[in-house]
Amino acid sequence: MTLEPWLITVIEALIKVLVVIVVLLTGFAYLTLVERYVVAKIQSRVGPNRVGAAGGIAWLQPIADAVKMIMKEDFWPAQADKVTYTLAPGIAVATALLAWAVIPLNPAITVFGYTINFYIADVNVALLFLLAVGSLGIYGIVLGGWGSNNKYSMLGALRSTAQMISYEISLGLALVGVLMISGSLSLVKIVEQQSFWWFVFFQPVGFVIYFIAAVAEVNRLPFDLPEAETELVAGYQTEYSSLKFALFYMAEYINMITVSAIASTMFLGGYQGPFGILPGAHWLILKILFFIFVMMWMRGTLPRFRYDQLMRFGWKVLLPLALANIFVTAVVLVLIGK
Amino acid sequence: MTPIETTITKLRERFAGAIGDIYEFRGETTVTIPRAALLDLARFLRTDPALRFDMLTDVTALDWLPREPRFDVLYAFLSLSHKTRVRVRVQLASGDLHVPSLTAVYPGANFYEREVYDLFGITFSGHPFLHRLLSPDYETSHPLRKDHPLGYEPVEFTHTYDEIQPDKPGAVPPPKPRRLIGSIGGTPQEIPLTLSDPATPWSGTQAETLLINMGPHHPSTHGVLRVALEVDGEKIVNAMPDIGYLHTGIEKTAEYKTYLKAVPLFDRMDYLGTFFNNLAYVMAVEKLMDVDVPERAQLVRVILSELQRITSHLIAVGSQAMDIGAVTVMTYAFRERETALDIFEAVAGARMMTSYFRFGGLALDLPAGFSDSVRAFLKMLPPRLKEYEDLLNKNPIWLERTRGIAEYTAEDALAYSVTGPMLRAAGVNWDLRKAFPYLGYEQYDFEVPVSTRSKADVLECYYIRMEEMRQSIRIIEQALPKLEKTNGQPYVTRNRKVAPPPKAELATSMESLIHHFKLWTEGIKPPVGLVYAPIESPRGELGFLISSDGSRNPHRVRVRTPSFANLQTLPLLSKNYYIADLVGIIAMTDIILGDVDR
Amino acid sequence: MEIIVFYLFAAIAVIAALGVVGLRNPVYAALCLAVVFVSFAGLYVLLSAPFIAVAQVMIYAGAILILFVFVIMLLSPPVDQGEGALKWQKPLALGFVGALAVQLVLVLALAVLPSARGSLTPEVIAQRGDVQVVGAALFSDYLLPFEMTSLLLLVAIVGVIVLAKKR
Repeated sequence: MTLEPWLITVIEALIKVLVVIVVLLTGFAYLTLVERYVVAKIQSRVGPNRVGAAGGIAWLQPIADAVKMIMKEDFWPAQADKVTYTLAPGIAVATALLAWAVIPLNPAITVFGYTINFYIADVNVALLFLLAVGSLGIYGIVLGGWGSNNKYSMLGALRSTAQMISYEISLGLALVGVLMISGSLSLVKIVEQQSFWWFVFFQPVGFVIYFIAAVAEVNRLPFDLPEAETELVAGYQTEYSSLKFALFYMAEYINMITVSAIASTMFLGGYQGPFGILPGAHWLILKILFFIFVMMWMRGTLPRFRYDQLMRFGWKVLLPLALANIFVTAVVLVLIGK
Repeated sequence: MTPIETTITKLRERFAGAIGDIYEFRGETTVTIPRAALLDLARFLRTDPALRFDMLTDVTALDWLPREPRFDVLYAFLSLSHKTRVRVRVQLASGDLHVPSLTAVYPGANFYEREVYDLFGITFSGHPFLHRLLSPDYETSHPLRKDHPLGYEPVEFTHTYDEIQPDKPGAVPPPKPRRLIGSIGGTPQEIPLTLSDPATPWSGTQAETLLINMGPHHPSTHGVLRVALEVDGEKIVNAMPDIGYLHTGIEKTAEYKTYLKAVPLFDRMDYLGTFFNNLAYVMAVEKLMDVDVPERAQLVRVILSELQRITSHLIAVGSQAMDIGAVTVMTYAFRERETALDIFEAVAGARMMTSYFRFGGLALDLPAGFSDSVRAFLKMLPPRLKEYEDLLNKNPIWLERTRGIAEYTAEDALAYSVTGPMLRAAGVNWDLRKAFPYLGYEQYDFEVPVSTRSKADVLECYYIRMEEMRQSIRIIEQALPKLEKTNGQPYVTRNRKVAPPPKAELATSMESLIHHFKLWTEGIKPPVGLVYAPIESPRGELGFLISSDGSRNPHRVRVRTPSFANLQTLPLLSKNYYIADLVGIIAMTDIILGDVDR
Repeated sequence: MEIIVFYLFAAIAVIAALGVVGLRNPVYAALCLAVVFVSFAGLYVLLSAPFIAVAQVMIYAGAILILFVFVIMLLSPPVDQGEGALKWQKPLALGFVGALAVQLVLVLALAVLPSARGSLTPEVIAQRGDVQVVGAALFSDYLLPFEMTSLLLLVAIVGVIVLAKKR
């Protein structure tokens, strides 16, 4: 039996999508566990040690958490806007997952004469696609905050909108340096170009700016103002419970993985090993874990910015720095005649 | 001439005819004046260069039912420069319950006068916002009056309200609509609590500003504090503390207990400073009865209260860091505190509600190995404190979040009756351990950390608290060798009218048996009098005012708690800062809601 | 395949556009507008213009509309209860709609629009690269409008700062 070529494409894409989603959701579940252990170690606590504990690690804790989340009452605030209140967590997760359509995970391999590419789509504007999808992620937070009809949620939503719009600019500009060097917007091409020299060697400033902006983009300490629990209770999530809350949580962690993956792809060569050693998905996973660890480390160490300080930092430090970085990169590229 | 004599002379000169009788008891002076002279007298006390009573430490009242004039309103003034206290009494006959408000002279009178209005029903004319403070707004009676029965208050939160309600004699169902205290356009006012009425500014659309209920259930109000927060965007227009959610009527309950049985009540006020609560109360009763306290008991009291000062400051610093986002400092601080709590548990049997001090000494002798465990704690602590400072002191985010936030001057602090680290952060060198030494604090070599900056802020308070912990370590280190020398010595007074005889004596001495019987059936019986015993708690001046009518129960126990006064600075401190700063400011005031509401 | 996708996006766009006009809650209307933008982006992709598609989502849906939503939420205008204050708008709107419909029919019937293909066929774009084509066009043929736009935006920024500073 032979299949139509387009049918094969569709089936292949569907399988990839399924795999990516399953891996991400499992990854999210265990990342929560990892985070609890990392932060517990930093804060000289024990961390989870009850559910399915073996060898000092509570292996079944994420599953217990998931079951708990499902069993909890799905609470509806009296005057919430039903439509937006329900829609918001879905939007948050959907946009978080969408980004993975364009991130290359592994070099292509050939099985039985059929080449399998380890990405869902090689779009030649992949990078812009990432930014676009990221900018849509705000809707989840804004609608959640507004739909809850709660002043804390509303303030959280306002903060996050302002913060994400501000930092998205620096985030995008930090990546422009890489684009100028690679001359392509396709992540597949960008990764392939880094088989020996990673772009972080050419773009150290861009890398730092990107990482700071990325931390702000995923609302982690010291930029976690939208959900700053000591000020806004839980920000836009204040009224959420049960699975809807879990979805927000999920979106947040998937976003963490996503920005780490982008940082790895753009600056640290994605699935490429250092100086061409053993390329493969393991490198990408290692790099992602490294970035996520750094984010957890920051959470264990740093206090939180204040809203106006955050804005000032974004607009008066990061943005000019990112622009200067682009300028310098352009000048150097012209001088060396590339 | 002692400062208090100067004060009396000056007052006699100025208000010749107005000064009524002057009552002296145990070195405390109470001046009675008519209501008409009060405002002038307060102004005179505050401004006269020879007097300089900068602070109004307390306003309270006594109900002498059935005597007429029924009420005494008591004002406690403190002069920092002359280290003097004077108490002014205004007598009020029932049916004519009003006095001029002192808020214009001492802004710190605000909360105190509201409290007296609430609990005694005495009106303060000229008060800017005379509303109930501690009891709910629908309350109709005045709980601290003697004719108000103890107990049977309506239970607010219950699933079977309708069933319980009829059982309660005299219970009044709350009238509707309810009102909450809030602020519109920066002015405090009562706001009708009707959710669905779009005409009220609560909906947020009609008013320029947004009114947010911060608390009573909020992660960083340090208990059940409600802050009626009016914000313009993220900027605070007014932040009004609304308290009373933890008001348990401890002062009222104490009037129905014997003196001894009241000790555990006061544990529940400042639950991070239980030794201090016990100490101040016990010292007040000792002063009332003029009891001696053996040296060993004094030393133990010093060591335990300094240890607790450390644990309390650990919480203060840790929770302040947590409120600003550095959670790790908080978990570290709790780790250290646990070791100290182990010591408390070994000593008193409880980790928090210690109830360890007794009139004339201690409840029981120290356990074996006490000084070793204290030494281990003292050895462990300094490097750990260094650890916090490594995390915070040079962290630019921390500095930016704390430096220049909630700036206030020494004048502000004095005017609002602020005491403790907050006062010292404003550059006022004032510590009761130095100013009015008690427990032999004059024998110890320690310094009072005082800020050298012209204005206090959140960061300065943090520095002061860190340094105070180090000074406490010094004090304990000096006290421990002395304590070891007193091993085996009595830990409680030999005055059998106050402290029970040791059990061995009961079998051999008839007199001891009688003392024991009298003490356990009736309790102690102090003379008629009015005493005030202040101590330096981790939060500031904690003082017990005990009025005794010569019976076995206190006529009135008034607690001057530091958190109560420190909290009322909140609108002043937080104005024009951001919501995010407010949590840092609340943490800076280091309030314990049990201490505020009592 | 492409036809199916086209009709899918087109249908979503039309329905969402009706929502923008018809829904009374302004937040819902704004959300429908976002859906319109996203489906347009899908149509652009089908037209071999992924750059435009992504730019559409990023700028319109991600930046401009979010500000709309922001403002709507901040002002929280009451949900329109039907009989609005602007009654005279109704006949006017009907007139405009009628004129537009007539125009549309005329255009389609007379086939005024040229059906010839330009030089930038999908094959050319695939070869030269989508972003490169857009970039080249912007910085050569359309340089003056491009620079003027940037100047306009600069003026707008300065204006905003001036307005905001006044408070």
